[in-house]
Amino acid sequence: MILQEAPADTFNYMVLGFAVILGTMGLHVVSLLARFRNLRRDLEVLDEVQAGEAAATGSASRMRTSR
Amino acid sequence: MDPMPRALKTLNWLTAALFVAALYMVFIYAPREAVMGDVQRVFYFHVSAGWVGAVAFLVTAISGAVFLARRDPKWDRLAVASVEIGMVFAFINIVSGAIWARPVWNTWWTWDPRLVTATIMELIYLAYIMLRQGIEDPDRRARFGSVYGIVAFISVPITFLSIRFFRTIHPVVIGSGDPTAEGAFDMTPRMLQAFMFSLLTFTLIYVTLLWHRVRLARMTEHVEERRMQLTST
Amino acid sequence: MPEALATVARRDRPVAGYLRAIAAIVRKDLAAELRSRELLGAMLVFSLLLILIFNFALELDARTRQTVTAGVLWSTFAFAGTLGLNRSMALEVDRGCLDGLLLAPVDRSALFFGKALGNLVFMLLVAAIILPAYSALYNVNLFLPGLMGVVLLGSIGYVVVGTLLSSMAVQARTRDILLPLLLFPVVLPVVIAAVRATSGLLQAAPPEEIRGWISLLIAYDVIFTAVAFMTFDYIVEE
Repeated sequence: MILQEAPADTFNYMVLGFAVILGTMGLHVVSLLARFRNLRRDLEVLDEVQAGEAAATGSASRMRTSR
Repeated sequence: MDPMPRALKTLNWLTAALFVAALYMVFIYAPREAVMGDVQRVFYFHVSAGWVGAVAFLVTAISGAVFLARRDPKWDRLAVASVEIGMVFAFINIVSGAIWARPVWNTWWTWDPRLVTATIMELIYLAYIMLRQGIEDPDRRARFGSVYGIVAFISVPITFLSIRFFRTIHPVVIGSGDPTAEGAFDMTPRMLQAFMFSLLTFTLIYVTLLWHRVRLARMTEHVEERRMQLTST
Repeated sequence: MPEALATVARRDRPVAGYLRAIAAIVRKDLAAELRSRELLGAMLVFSLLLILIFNFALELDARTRQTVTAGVLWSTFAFAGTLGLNRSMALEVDRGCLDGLLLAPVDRSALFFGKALGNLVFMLLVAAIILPAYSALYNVNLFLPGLMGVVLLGSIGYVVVGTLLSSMAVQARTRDILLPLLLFPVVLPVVIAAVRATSGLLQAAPPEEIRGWISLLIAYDVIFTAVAFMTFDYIVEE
């Protein structure tokens, strides 16, 4: 006679649960990384534009003085 | 924009290591529960996520209060960062709770006071975001966010108590389980250790993510300032 | 309006001036409403329509009516309440009254209590019509003194938080849909307690149970009146 039942087989639910937990955490971290990357790219673009402008104003003033 | 501080880099590694250790504790160190089986292991991270959701809410409320007193934008940045992380972990708490409930009580949802309060907390987070999205002026946005954060935070424990009082008078029999048990099971010492370790790990995860999120907010503002400077010249 | 409030505040002692300021705001709201009747009219029609919908949505036969009445009543109050709160604050902002009131040398909280009291009066007026209507339509006696008390306590809690949140929601782009989203999760304890207390009174539940719910309502009212008092300044500062 079995005095105590074996534990229920809930392995699939455990997998589902952890998939949701780890998946959601992972997605969040990925979203943070993506947003950081986009900002760094924006900064690079801003740097380039600023350098371009500086060069343009620099050459413009040089043009004026050389005349 | 300053590079990642040394302390944060160390924290990253520490948190990652602790997380791996927590996974070991939850899957290998802790025994399989006698009645529910493997799904009980979800409980360790389910409760820890709920804990993070609650702590994040508290941080948002306090940050808001400090912002109203000091008016330094860094406190508002902290509040917004905490809301984002709180939302993510409250979501994890609710869904993992449902997945745990399904095989144990034969239903996806139980009107358990903690689960209902967690859902209300998530809805409040969403309302907070929508309030901020609807306000154009940044100072007003921060002020209103702060006030709502404080008001909403105070309401949550009262809501929890009301639902619990409601449940003690009107126990709802769901599925085949005992509704007042609310997922109770006897925790062996190893389970208790795994549980405490998970709580610790998740707390550290919260702090790490919060720090990163705050840096993201500062960087976003920095980029906005540079962009405005460039377009104005 | 500001000059009137100013003379009032200067002439009398501060406390009396404060109370008169509140009374002045309530009087203004009531007078405006008496002239246009748009707020009360809308709330009343909406409430009656809701009760109609509930009649067809739920099985309101003699037996279930006993258990479901409290829920139907408070759902109606909650939804009609948002209408009133929204309009009341929107009128203030759209007509430029808010700026005028803010210029007056009275404590900002007087403004809050004035608006809240006005909203409370409107809500109680709606209840005063809905309760008899429901009683008549469904042959349920709602005229128990305890029930009046519960309606009052519940309305106070609802209106205090509602006025505070509507003063924020009205300044957002999404003003109409925002108030219910902000309000309902926070005001849930009021709804729970009010429904349970009302239901308990209608079904002659044990007095300790009803007292428990009433204590919860009173606690909520006290806590959130204090919170609103402390935070309203931060909403209207400009």
